[in-house]
Amino acid sequence: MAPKRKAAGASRRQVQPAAAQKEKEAELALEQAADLALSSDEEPESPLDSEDELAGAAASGGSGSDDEEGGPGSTGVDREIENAVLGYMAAVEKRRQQRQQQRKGGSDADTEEEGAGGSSDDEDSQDGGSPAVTDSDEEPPAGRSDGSEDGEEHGGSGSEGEGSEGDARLRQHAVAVAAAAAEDPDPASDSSEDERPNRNTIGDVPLEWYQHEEHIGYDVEGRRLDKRPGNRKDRLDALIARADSTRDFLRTVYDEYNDEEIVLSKEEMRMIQRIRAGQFPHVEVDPYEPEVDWFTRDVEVMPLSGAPEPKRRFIPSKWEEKKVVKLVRALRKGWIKREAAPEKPDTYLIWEDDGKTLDKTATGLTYIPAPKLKLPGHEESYNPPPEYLPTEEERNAAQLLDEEERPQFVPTAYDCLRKVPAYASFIKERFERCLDLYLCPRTRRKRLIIEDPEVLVPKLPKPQDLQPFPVLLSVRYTGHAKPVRSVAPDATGQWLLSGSDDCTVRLWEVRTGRCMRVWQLEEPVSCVAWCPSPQLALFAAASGKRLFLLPSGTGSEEQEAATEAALQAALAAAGGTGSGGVEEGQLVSWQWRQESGGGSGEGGVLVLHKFSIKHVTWHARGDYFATVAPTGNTQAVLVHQLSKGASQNPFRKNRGRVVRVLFHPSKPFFFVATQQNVRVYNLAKQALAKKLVAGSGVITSMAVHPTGDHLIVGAEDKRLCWFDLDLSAKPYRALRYHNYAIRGAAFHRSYPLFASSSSDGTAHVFHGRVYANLMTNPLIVPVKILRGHEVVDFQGVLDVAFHPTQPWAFTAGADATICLFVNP
Amino acid sequence: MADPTPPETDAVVTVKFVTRLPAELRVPETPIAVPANLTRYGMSQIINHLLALDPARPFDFLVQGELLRLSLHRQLEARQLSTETVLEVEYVPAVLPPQPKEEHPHEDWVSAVAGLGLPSSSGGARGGSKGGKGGGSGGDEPVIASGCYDGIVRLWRSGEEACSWAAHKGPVQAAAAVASAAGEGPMLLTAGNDNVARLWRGLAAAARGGGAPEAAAVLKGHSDTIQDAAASPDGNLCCTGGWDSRLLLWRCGDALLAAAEANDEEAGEGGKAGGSKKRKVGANGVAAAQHVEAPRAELTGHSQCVAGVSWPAAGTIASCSWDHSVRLWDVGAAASSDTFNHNKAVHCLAAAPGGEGLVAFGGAEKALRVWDPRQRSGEGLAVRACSSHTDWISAIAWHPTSAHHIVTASHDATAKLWDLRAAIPLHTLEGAGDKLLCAAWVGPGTVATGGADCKLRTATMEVAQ
Repeated sequence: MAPKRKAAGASRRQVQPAAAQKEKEAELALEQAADLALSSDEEPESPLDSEDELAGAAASGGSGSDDEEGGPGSTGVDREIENAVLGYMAAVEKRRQQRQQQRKGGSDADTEEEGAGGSSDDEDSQDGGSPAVTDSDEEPPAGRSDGSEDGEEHGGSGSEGEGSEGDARLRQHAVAVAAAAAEDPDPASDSSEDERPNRNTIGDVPLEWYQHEEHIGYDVEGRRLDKRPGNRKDRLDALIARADSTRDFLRTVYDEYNDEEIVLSKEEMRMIQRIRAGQFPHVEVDPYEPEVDWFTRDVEVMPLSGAPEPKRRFIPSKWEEKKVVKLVRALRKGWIKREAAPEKPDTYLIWEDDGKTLDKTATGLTYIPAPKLKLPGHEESYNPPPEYLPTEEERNAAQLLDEEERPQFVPTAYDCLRKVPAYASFIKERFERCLDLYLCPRTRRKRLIIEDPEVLVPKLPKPQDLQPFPVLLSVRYTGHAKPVRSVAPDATGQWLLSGSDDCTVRLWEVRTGRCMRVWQLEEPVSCVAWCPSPQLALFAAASGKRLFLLPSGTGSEEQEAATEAALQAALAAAGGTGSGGVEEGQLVSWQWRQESGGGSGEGGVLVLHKFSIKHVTWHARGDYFATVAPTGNTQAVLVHQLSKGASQNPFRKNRGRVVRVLFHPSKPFFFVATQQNVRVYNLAKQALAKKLVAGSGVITSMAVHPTGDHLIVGAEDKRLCWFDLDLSAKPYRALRYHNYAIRGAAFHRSYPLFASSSSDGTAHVFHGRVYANLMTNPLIVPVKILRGHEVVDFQGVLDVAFHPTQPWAFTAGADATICLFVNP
Repeated sequence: MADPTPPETDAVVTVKFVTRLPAELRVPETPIAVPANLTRYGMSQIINHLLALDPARPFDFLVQGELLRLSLHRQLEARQLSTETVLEVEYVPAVLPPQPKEEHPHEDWVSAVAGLGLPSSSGGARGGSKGGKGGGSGGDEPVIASGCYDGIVRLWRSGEEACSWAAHKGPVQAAAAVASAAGEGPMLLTAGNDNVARLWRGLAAAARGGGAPEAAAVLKGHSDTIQDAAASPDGNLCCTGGWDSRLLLWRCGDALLAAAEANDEEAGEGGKAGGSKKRKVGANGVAAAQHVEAPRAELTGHSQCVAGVSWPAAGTIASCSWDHSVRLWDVGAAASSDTFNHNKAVHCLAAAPGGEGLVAFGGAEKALRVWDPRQRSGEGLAVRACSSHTDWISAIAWHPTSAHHIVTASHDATAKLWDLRAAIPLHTLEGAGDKLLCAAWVGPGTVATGGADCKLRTATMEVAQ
């Protein structure tokens, strides 16, 4: 393969045109870019290929040196290059082995080196084309003198004899060394030849361009550099010179580049010989000098610790093994999971941590950063825009101001920063700021961040879901002439009683709104209340100082008879037949009502009080009833018994003005509402059981839940307070929905409804569900505002009551009407 | 055939007119193309033209069992019926607007009214009541019985007050005619706040000026106000409901009279209460009761005031209550056969005569509701709401013979005539100054209403069959 290639290269070289300048340049560029190990005299295969080679060289760039000559051209060329490279590699390897052998062999083998080197060279040349020049690694292209020499060079020693071969080689080496030193001074080399200046100034121009010229090129200024004809010798001259001075001739080399002959010194010769032998050029360099271990790896005789090395250092750790086994098991069973490396975000805030300071210091005190200073603006500039500069007038005006009010900083313009004087009040301001920071305690304001205000609103069901409740005004009961103070539907829901300021009590048919009966009394009626007893058709009406017990006439014959009998029995037991006032020492006086003419139960019974009665309420059984006379002081609350016709004063002392009283629906409790609070008395133990504090307002109304565990209290401060008697003495909830004082409050008997009426002319209906579960608080939802009454003399709805069976509400208005609101 | 032009203005619907009217009012059953935008009036003109009637008679038209109230096109659109097929349209004589006839002032609110078909010569009759349970039969002389809040019952015959008597201690809440096989015509059953119902006989003589009718019996058993009463079609039974939440069944009419006579003969004096119950004599009676009758049975089920009862067919009673339920009762089994639970108190009801099945009721709301107990797919679908009144409906009276016509009286001072085949009322009777409390058919062509303006009003309402 190699000979063929050589032949091809030679033929090509002949074919090569004299002036394919561009391609030549390309070749040169290639060669320079190529690893110098590759044969520098390898010529391009064909001018046609050179483009490709160039492209290939350019493409491969600095990536690798192996295929420098092998462009994307023919595969044969590639193969040649490959072989060349492989051969080179082999030669390098061999050379290295030789060097190692030399090291082993010592320096005494130097003499043999010549022969060995020569033989190796020969081998190289036989091995392949390119390794023949491996010795001239550093040989630049300038090492060639002319075409003839080229041929000699590659042809090996074929043309010249064995004797001259060594001389030629030597000469070549000398030239190479000199040229290398001149052209490419190795900074690591300390050879004296390195200092030799490069005298040829023609630049990087191939000499063969001028080989037929009288000059070798041009210097930088364009002057022609002439060849020195004296130096040029043909072969005959060279032979003569050789004959003349054998010794010098042997040491003389011709520097083609600088066009001069150089006579090498003995040292240089020796150096060349060493180079050829693959040794260091300088004698002083001893590559085999003994190595000094500055950083020892040996164990010191006297270690830092005198303890003997423990055994455990040499045996595998059982503990570690256990631990590893544990970990392995845990990993296998998935108890521990190998955490993925936390992903670092691509982008992050560089100054993110600036705002974060340590929340807690070592002392446990919260560190609060000092407030930041205001950044300077345009007016603090050394040369602010004219609009920031104060005018003369402003400046004068500022001077007139008090020092406290005078602006601290007056914007001033300077033409350059250099002229800006020191800031006069710098120290003062710093000091004051420090004083501020020191003296003014700072607190961290913990502001609630509420994104959605709706979250704060309690989750209440919609009123639509809480139906039924009264909504629609359906029946209006008209007939009263003055404000209706009180309404009371009967137990069946057929009848409705109302008491009014026009001194009448009216009985209404609920469904039709028909007034069935009117009782004309002497004084305005403040309260009406049905007797809850199912055997009786009786109600109580409070009118001034008189309390009337009147048969309603709505019951069956049996009920009416029983009512009459009960009234007669009551009066008989009371022994009161008098018709005058209350006797001294008596609380009340039980009498027949005057209108009835006496002796008949039909007309009803009058219980004459000493004080004006405002409220009357019945016990659930229908035997006891209690009256409230707020002005009565010690006799404010009287409890009467119908069956015995007896009256008693349970409270000798009342703290505050009693407004309302109520019987507990099932237990022996008695609620007494004074203007300030509600007291719950245990009637069985005759003791105060509880005291409920509603708030600041004057209590006006009170109603008890059918279960008896809850109480609503309305007050003049517009608030309706819901008390959970089992929960607390304070209101479970205060409902402030009215605009004016609350006048009435009521619970529905069966539906979870309660209502309040107010002077603002409205009644509010609430859904109030009470759970049997003690842990659940009552659910209170306002569901409806009932508007049906006009406000007359600042009085709106005076009373509210629920229908006993339907979700309907009756409201008594100051406009002398009663309204029935029904569910839609 | 049908011209399928889409624009509404000249769209045409092919209709075929059918009718159940006599032959002289029939038109040939050939399909006719009529403009789709025709309303009832236009269709009526077509029929009149086809029949060449003079004077013209108004007709109503039924499309798929529903009265034509919109234009033909819109009605078909609303019901999603095809306009391209031949549409069968039935025509019936239209109900003419009511003409107010008489106005009889009373001393107190008129709370109950009943029509009595008293025989001018002979023949049975059926009556109506506040709830409108039937009416006088056609050939009889219409007499109206009205009860007031002052407890007085009056008979009105041919526009004049025939007689009046104090029937109850308190307001008369209900009045109902009780059919009788005897020749003297129907009897009258009244009930009131004094917890008793009373049966009156000899009305024909009373109506002719023979003084107050004879009190045949006192039905005593309720412990609270009786709110409504109804007699069975044959008159031998009646039922009452009241505020004591009880619905009681009584002997009535001829059967009660016969029993009373038998008891009188047995005991010599006074009558013995039916069944094992002891007779109770009232402490005082406005009208002396000859015979005190105890309830024969109690229909238990209602938990609150039974506000309305109706006896549409021999074995069926319908009742409504403030406990929000409407119940149908099987009289033979004395048990509830069907229940509809409303969401409001129900105050009045009327069932379609002859066991048609429909029950119309009104309660503490403005809408009239019609319950079809035969509908089983779901209660919501079974009840239809007809809204037109602006206040509570206080009384409902079903036409004695028509299954479609209803008169309702309302607290909004109007009475309305409904055809249940249309969603809106046919006619509205206005003029009352205050709440209307009762309404009844007097014969097939007259409606009597009474109310809080203390007047008994009558109006002609000719409902053609």
